[in-house]
Amino acid sequence: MKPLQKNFSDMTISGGVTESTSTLHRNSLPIPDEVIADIFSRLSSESIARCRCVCKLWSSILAHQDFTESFLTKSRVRPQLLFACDAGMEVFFFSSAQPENPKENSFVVASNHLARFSISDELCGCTNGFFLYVSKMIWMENELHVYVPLMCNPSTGQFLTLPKLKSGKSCGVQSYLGYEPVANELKVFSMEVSRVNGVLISVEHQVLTTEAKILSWSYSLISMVACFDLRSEKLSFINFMETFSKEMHHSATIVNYNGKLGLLMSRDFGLVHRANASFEMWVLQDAAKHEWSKLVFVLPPLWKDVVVDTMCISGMVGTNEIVFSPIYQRDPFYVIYYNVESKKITKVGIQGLEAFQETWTPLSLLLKPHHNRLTGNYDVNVMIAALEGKGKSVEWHDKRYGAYSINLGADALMGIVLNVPVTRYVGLWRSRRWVVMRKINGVWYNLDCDLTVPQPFTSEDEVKGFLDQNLSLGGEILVIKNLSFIFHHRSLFWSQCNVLTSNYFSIDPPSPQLCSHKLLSLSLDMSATETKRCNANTRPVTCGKQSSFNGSYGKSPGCTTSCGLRLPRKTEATAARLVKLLSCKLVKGLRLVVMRRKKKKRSPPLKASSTGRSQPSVISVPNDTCRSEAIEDCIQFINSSTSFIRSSSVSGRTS
Amino acid sequence: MSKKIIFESSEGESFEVDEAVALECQTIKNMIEDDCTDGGIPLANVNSATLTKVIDYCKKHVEAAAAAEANAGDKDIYGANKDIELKTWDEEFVKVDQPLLFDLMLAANFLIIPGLLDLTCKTMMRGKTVLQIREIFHIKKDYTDAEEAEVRKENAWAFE
Repeated sequence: MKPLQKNFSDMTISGGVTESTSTLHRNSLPIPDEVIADIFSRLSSESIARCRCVCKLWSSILAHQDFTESFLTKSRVRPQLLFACDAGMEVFFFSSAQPENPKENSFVVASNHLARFSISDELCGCTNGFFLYVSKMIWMENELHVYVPLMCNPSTGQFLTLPKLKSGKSCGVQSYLGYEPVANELKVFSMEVSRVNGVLISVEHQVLTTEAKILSWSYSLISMVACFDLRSEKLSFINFMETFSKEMHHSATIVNYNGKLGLLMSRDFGLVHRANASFEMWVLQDAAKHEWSKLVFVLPPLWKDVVVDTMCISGMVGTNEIVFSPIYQRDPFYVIYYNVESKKITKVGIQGLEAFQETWTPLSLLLKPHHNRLTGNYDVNVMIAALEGKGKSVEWHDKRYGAYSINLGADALMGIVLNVPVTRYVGLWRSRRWVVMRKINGVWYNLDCDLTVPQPFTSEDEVKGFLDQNLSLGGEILVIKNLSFIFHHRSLFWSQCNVLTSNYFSIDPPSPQLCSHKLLSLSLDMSATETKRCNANTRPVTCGKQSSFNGSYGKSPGCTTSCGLRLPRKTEATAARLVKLLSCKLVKGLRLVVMRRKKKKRSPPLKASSTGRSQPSVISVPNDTCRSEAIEDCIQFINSSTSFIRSSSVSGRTS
Repeated sequence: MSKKIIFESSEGESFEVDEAVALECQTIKNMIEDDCTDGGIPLANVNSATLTKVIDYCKKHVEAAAAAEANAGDKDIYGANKDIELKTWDEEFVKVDQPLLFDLMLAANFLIIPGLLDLTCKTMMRGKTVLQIREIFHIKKDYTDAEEAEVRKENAWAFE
């Protein structure tokens, strides 16, 4: 604020330009400059932009770095939640102020609409008011581009497209955004991941900055935190596997816990259910010695009363508040704050997201384009939630690439779910149905529930032919994989509304520095199953008033860690998980639930998913509570079904 | 019976308020602490109409704070909705004509009422067109048409 004041004393803002007293201004008191400064300092980003258009002087003040920095500083003092709502073709961003001193009773806060962007494939992270995400498809210069990484400012809606990796690949690239405070630079760390012989390796790393140098390293990764030093552009790794108990190998949410790196974990793939009594946090005590300590946070009894859905850990706000959000958007949408000191929870309703309620109707199924249907549609969500609860990833296959781009031989490939249109009663009723295909003992079977017995395919080519045929008829393919690196793609399927903790907002356009980037390519040989998160974030997104990492953890303030977003990267499979997945395979029992659609959304709830019998599961859930139950049921069902997939289930009613 | 404080507007009109209400104004609070409020506080640059509004604002906020404290355990759908109620009240409160809003802002600045200052500053610019802002602040456009088009383009996101 100081430099701003100085500006004001240097120049008169209102004096000198006063024309004849306007009728608007009855009170002829001159406007003191400090009042104008006051006004400026309190304006919303939108008003600031308008004021920039008023006159040159205002524009120079409001676009001055001192002002934009003071705006960011102020915004940083009061972090907000950022919501990313998927609405078909677009992602809408909302912010919502954090209630001050949330107590045990609950609050409702309103959300502010920010910007909207083209549909997202992956939310990569945010820092300093900027946001990095991968756009699934975007029109630029009359050309359709797919999987374009964009850096955007959710407050203003401005965005910058990032250049492609040297390899030209756009799929399977993971990017992380970081801010280096000393040089005042934003850097993007990109990593290309490939699957070679069923093993994930990271083949190419690039850093987009103004500076560039070549790095190469070779590291065998088991399960660790990767730190990318934004200043030196060096990657280092911190092991945590040794200190972890066997069952603690699931995905974690990275947070800044009192200046130290914290990993928030639950035993269910980062999800916290109603029945859970606690969750854990691992705190990195000494990075050099790879020392971790464990904190167990016990949920209060109120948890069971307040929580209806399965919650995921969104991150941490301030120094002591952990935020949970339901994996599905509910009406009204809410988040839960857990205070790590008082162990109390606060439910906070968020107003203004009602428009993003799922409004699924049988008509919307026919009328909406496919991703709407997939993301906005109820039953597929249930199925996906259930599958992901079992450690499977579900991907929508981009049909423009045809079925031939699916690697049917991949180890991690678990099965394929087809969604095909059907016409019955001589075309009177049009609907869609699900068909499951799985490879069992090396042979692909069509488990269509309209067939009396599973129909084997003779070759993979036949499978692909079958898939292509269905694609041409308007089918959609969901690829089910054993949980792996690809898991992060779930972000938008998983939840219609992603809650990202404690963002502050900038009024700058996305950094022009990145335009003059250089790419650097890093060769990397990773011989293990997974690269862990590589975080290229300096200032952890998750802290309101924060100092840079200095403690035992940070080697330099510009060092490392903590993309506070949990959503995009659910990627930590570890050796232990691998073992678990293998054992899962042995069990072989995972039986895909063939879901059928009921005719009407508002129809009376049918008992969701059978309980362990190989019956067709009819899931039709009219409201959220039922849906949650359905998910739980579905998970239970999957759990309990250990038998081989039987001949397809009885075909249900033609819904 | 709480202590009363007497304000005197620029027109010389007297307003009697509870001390608690007056304490909302940081300036008055300082004066009360310095014990120099006897015989009323003359506010030479706040007129009666504005002062009435300011007192309304302070009263409402004092009441709301007291109510919030009393009903700490009270819950509705999510719990206390008082915050929202107060916000709605605030919104209604600043639905006044531009000169009065201006006076309110100046008064809030002079009396140091952070909440009111914030509210009026934000309202001052909210939803205003560039032309309106120029008119309110008596600013002559010094952009050429081309320059203005350019700067508007840069900030186009705010005009949607």
